[in-house]
Amino acid sequence: MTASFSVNQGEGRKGGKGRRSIWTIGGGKGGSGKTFIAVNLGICLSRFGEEVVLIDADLGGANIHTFLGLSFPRRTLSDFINKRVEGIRDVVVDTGIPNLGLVVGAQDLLNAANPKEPQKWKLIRHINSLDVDYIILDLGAGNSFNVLDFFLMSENEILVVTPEPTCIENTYRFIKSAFFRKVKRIISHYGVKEIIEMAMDQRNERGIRTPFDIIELAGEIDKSIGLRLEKELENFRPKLIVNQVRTKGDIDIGFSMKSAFLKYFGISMDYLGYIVYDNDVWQSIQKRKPLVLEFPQSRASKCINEITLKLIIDKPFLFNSGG
Amino acid sequence: MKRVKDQTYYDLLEVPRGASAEEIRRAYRREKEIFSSNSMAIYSLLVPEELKEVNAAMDEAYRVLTDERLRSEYDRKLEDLGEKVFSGEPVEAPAIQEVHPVREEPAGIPFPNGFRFTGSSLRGIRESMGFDLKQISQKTKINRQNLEWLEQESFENLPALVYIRGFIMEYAKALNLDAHRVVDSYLESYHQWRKARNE
Repeated sequence: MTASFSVNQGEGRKGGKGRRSIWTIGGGKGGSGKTFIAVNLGICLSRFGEEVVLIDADLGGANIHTFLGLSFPRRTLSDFINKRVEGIRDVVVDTGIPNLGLVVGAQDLLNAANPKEPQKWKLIRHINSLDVDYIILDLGAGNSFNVLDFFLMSENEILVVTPEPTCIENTYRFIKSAFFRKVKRIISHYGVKEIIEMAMDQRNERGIRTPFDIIELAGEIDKSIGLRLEKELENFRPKLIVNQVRTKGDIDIGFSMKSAFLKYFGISMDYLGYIVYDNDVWQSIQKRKPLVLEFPQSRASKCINEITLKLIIDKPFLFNSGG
Repeated sequence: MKRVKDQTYYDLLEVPRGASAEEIRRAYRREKEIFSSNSMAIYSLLVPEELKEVNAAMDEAYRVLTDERLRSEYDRKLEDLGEKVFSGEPVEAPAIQEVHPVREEPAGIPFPNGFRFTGSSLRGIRESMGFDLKQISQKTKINRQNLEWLEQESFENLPALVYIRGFIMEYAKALNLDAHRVVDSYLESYHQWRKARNE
């Protein structure tokens, strides 16, 4: 084993095996702040004495290392994929921040942005098996199947949206695609699969638009599948962060999106919180130093801390049995 | 959740069954704002006909629920349909309270049962709130070295239990945490340490 990532033993880490929780951070649009949020959440989390690994799963445009002021690491996911190392643990590199490790998706990863199916599932399986307290996955923009599959691997699916029509539009599209992808993977009935597929095309001729439509049509084919889908719909609860908030109206957008989406699509979102538009954020990125370390007193830092606490307070922290 | 056309008036306005007239009025205003044609939150979500449909449904819900007679008739109808109507028992958490839960300051954080307030988690919370030890020292009148030892759980350097208890109490208050809970949780490690030392 050559892993250089090691936890700070002196801190008395709460040796909690099996307390692994995965947070995946996605969203339809580039530039909404996914990576910025992933990095800063990771740092906040590590300060609680939790062992955290950040995974840069933006396979085409990995740049978490830049946010952390590191150079591109020598070992990347491609070493793992190409079997140059034994386990994914061996490509976790030190960030210089106690308790925080980093895995970078390589730029040469077989046309990077599009790993082949078996490789993708192998990767997901291995990420799942990483024995740390928290794993944070930063995803690329867009809603390709690959992005969606990584997004769906956690119970904490986090979406980052900025208060702009374009970004909101992409976010809705992303959540819809994620839900359709999720159920399509679960359901094996060919006819129902076809309906789901149709729904993914916004302008399908049967006018299937919402999960309600799918559930209804699937229920007509097979009642138990309809019920199953209903259950899935209930259990699908992505979390929302509104970034770059400038006004009180911007803050409310999170609540309004939650309410409207539930009403019209039956998908509940949790509104985790917002991050204010703050010049310190821009400065920290320019300096290649994480915001919460460089400007811990800034308003945006406080927002991120609050979101971290909210996420911790959710179930993963509670159950020792987990895993 | 059901389709808009199948939702009850209460669901539509996101109010509990026992909501007061004032709550209903506020909820209606909020929902109308969300579903107004120039609302950003619904951008790309609904086609114009759907928007019209949902607005009409809101108006009808509001009309019925703000008229005492119509409302009790409606409640009876729901009851006949087997829907659980407000009976004085707590219904699901009223959505209306959710309107502005996001606070400016991370104060009064409801840590879950089982959250362990150890030295390192206290440090994490302190740093998350943007306090350095100097500020905590000024607030609590505990000297900085002791605070550091508390965070490191360096019990051999700290004074007797009664002082540690007092320190943690003050520290917790300074962070706006539930002091008694923090003390109980924190002292678990102390007792473990004592036990290990005596063995």
